[in-house]
Order: sequence, then C-alpha cells, then structure tokens
Amino acid sequence: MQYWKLSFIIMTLSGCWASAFGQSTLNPDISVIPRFRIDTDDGSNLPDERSFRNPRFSLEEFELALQAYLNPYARADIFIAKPGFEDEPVEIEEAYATFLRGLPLDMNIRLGKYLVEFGKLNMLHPHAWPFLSKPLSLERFMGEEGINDLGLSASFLIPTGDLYTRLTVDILQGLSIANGPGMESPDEERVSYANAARLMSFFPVDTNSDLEIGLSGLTGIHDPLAELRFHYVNLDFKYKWKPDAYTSFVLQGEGLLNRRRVSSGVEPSSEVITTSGFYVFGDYQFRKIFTLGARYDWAQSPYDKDDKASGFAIFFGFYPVEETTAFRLQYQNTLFNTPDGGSRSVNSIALQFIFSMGPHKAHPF
Amino acid sequence: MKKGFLLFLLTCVSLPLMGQAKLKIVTSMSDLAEFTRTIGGDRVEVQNLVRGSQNPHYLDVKPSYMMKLKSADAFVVIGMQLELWGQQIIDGSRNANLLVIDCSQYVHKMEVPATKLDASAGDIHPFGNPHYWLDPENIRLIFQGIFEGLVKLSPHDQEYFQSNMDAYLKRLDLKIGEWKTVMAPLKGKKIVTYHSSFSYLAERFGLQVVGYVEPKPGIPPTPTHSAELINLMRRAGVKVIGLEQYYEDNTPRQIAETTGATVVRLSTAVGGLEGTDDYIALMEYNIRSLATALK
Repeated sequence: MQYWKLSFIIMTLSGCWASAFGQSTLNPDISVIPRFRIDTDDGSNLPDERSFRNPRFSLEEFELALQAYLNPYARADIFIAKPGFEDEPVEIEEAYATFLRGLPLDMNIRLGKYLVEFGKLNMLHPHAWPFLSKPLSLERFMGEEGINDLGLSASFLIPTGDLYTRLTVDILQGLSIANGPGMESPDEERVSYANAARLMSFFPVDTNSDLEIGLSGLTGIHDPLAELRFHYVNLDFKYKWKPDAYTSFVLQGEGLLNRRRVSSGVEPSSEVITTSGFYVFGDYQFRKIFTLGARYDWAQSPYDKDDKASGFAIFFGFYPVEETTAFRLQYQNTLFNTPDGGSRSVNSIALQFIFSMGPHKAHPF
Repeated sequence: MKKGFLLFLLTCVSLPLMGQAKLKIVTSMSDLAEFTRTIGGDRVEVQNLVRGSQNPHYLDVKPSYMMKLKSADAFVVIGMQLELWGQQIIDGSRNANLLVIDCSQYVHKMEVPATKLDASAGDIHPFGNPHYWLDPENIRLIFQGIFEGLVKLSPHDQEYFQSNMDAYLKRLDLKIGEWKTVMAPLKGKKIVTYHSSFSYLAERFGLQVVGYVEPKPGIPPTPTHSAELINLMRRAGVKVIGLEQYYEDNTPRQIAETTGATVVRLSTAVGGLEGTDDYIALMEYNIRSLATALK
C-alpha cells in the first residue's frame, strides 16, 4: 500500500512539472537511492548458546530525492523515505527551502523539516556513511532518526580572513527531541522549542589534506510534563588526505557531553546527571573502487552513567562504478554494560547494497 | 566650502587607488588561469581550483574553494557540465555579484548526443565533449569569452586586454603552424585513448581515435572490454595508447604489452606533467610525444 502511495507521489510530481512547463530542463532533479541489507547477529540467543541466526534480507530504506532551484535566490530539497517492505509509513525525511542569495550579511536561511547541523554525521544521509551502523553515541543521544526537526536555520560566514568559518543557529519545534530515546511524549498543548548552533572552521593543511573542526550545542525540554531541560555539547573533527584520485584517508570523530535534569524518586524533585559518548573512525581508500575502515565508539545512556555500551567495527567498501552502486560489508562487536553490573556482547555481520539513480549531488567535505 | 575641498581631496586620493584595484578572478582549471592572466595582465589577480594533475570531472566540494569565490568578481569555467561540482561551490560562496564566464558558449562542440541520454551510456556529458581546450584553434574563442567577461567588469581596460590577447594569439598562431607541420605526415593515423579527452586534438591534427580503454565514458575498464579493444587494435594496426596524466596505467600497459603498442602519457591540463608549465608547452609536449610514438 505504501508503495502505491510512493508511486503516486512520483507520478504526480513528474506529471505536474512536465505538463506545467513542457520542458524537461525545468523538472527538478529526481534521484532514488534504496539501501538493501543482509545481516545476522548472535545477540538474540542465551549467552551459553551463542550462534549466528540465519541471515535476513531487508530493505533498510528507500529514499526519493527531489531537488531544484525555486528561483535565482532559493532552492528546495525534499527527501521522502520508506523504511522496510512492510507497513512502515512513508516519511517526509526532509523538506526544506534554502534562501541562498539576496539576504543581508550574506546570510543563508533554511526553513522546513531538516537534519540539523549538529556535529558532522547528523546531517549526512546513511547512504553516504562509509559504515553500516550508526555510532552508539549518536544512536543513544540522538535516536534512530537523528536530530531531524521542523524549524528555521540561519547561517553566517564569520569574517576570519581566508579561513572558512561558519556559524549556524537553529530554532526548532523540538519534535525530534520529544520523540528521541527515553523522552516523554509531548503534551500537544505545549510547545517545547529546542535551539541548536554549530560553529565550524575549515583548515587547508597542505595541498592534499584538509581539516574541519566543529563545536555544536543543542538544548531543549526532554520532559515536557516536568519541564526538564537538557544540554548537549558536541565537538567534531574530520581530516581528509587525498593525494590522488585512487587514494584517500579520512579520520573523523565526535565527542558528545550530555547534561540533563531528570526526575528523582516519587517526589517532584530532580537531579542533574552528566553522561557522554564518542566515536572515531578511519576510512582508507586504497584503490579507486575499494575502501577499508575501522570505527570505535563508546557511549553512556542519556539517563544513566552506569548504562554503557562500546563497539568496534571493521568495514569494507566496494564501489565498482563510482557512486552509482556500492557494496559494504561490516563486522561489529558491541558490548553492553548494564547498571546492575551485567554485560552482554553481540557480534553482527552485515552486507549492504546501495544503488543510486539520478543526479543526487556529491556531499560536501 | 571646507567640506567640498575635503571631498575633492578624497576623490583625488582615491581615484588612483581605485585604478589599482585588481579584478579577482577564480578559474576552474589551470589552463583557464593562464589564459585569464595573459589577457588580464597586472589588472587581475587569478586563483585556480583544479590542479593540472587532477581529474577535473571530480573535485571534493571544499569550503576553502567557496572562500575563494566569496570575494571573486568572476568565475571562469569550461562549462558543458565538466565542473559538475561548480554550482555547489558557487552557492556556498554566497557571492550574489559573481559573474560566471562559461567559455563553452564560444566554441563549436563535438560529440553532442543526438538521442535520449541515460546512465547506460556511462558518464555522458549531455552538452557534448567538454575537452575543447585541447584544440589550440579553440583558444582564440576561449580568449574571446574571457575577454568579454573582463571587459564587462572593467570596461576602461578594454584596450589593454585586447592588446594582451592579440600578442598571445599571434604567438600561438605561429606555434599552431609548427604543430600542423609536425603532425601533417601523421594524418589518418589511428590511436586509442583512456577517456575521450583528446577528441578535439585528434580532430584538429587529423588523427583517428578508434577506441577507448574505458568501456563507456567514466566507467572503469573491464576484462571483456579490454579483450575487445585488443582485437580492435590488432585489426586496425593501432600502435599508440594515449593516457591522461591522472589515470592508472595498469590496464593500458597490459593492453599495450599484448598488442605491441606504446603507452604515451599525455597531459590534459597546464601543469599536469613535468614540462607542461604553460599552454604552449603543454601542446608542444603532447604533439611531440604523439609524433614520436606514431612515427
């Protein structure tokens, strides 16, 4: 049923543009990127009977991108996603307009629903990651969908000479926080806005390598009933060395500090807890079509410093024809430490296949 | 009265300073950077994005490139979708007054697809083969595009730009004559290249490009296609494989070993190989290398 809806959307959009303008050059760029997966893990069995279950085929997500300039001053980007083959709903993953020109202070304004510029990885769609699983720190503190919210974003280039320095500030509806991991359901009568900001600088290191460093902050109400607030501070970096078209190395990491007020006991009292998480990965492209990488991540729970998880992953990428087709293979070991002192280790192996139709643009550095 | 005098003084002081302000131009390729410097002389300050050794089809969209464009007056590009990354850099620069000088508007285009395009044909450029700067006769047309752009930005320098342009083109015409003489005996000779980078050069000097190491534009070589190419080269008596400076040489060398052909490294851009420091040196290098290998 969901696919009928999706097909209807595609046909309606294509038809409208084609009949309205009668020129294919005025149609928006339409891209389709599905992600298929075969995976298995040994996490569902009892500890003394550990064995890998039969591999399972799945459609991780089907992404439809519609992108075009609206006029000389603004462009629009719409990403529609359908996870799985079952009854999972079709989602508007992102739908926003960006005003690129004509604003004072060379400001850019983004309006709509979008992945918030918080850290480096949150903005990136999963098909552009070199690995198959979300780092634990992002999964635990930002949830499955990441910080993806309705809002308004303004970005400014800070005058730092030849150095590229950008400040982005967001006012958000707070929905993605309310639907995040362990969050209370929002009271529909109340609006609990969230605010985010990121300051980033880009440093060309030498002819073949560059470094980007960013500092982000996010604050909002995570418990609308008790009006309890949280604050995230995130430091990110990305170093890329690319001496030629066939070789490159990326080293990237993010560390997140969470400070939040949580309810304590039955009384209407609260306490402040501080937890954190980080990931770091390296990805080496050793031929035009092959990459090999490894990632380590560690994260506490947003609500309990004794609830911890750490993971180690090795991933291999095969890109036979540029970015139009990609195969990725990943092994990951995740160790969960529970507050009662228990621990559980899960091994997982996954193979991902992605293909890409259409002109979905290259992701910036 | 006092105010009027001060204004007069300020104007007198600022006029020569205004005259000295250089146009800031960013170019996508090193060849265009040289052409712009040649025409603009000391009235322009030129920065370039793609190094001669890099493949211009692929460029990481870096914020540092956006910074270069932010304060630029013009961005000179090859066009015809060679710089697919260009629009993202232009948007990221937030420069509302940037003039984009698309040199492809001035040249005659080759290999323009006549049928509906899709990805089964590889990375086809929908507006035709964009490697037109490797035909030296096209430089006059590219110069015209850059000249018109610079005049738009600085009309009072028109004569200066014109005389710089004429001086260079005079020198280039002499060299084109020499290159034609060198290549005349080789007219009709068949070559194979890795990518379709040298179609314009081959057309100008009468060479025939009969095949490519890539099975389709932008698609990496496959064993099946290499076997077909080997048969084709044997049948057609092809003895030279022209290889762009940025492509791997494993497959071309294997094909050359099997067919008895020679792999000739050619440069598609100024600074792509040693001894190609300017456009005339680049063409000299390519022409001499081909002539030596084809004899």
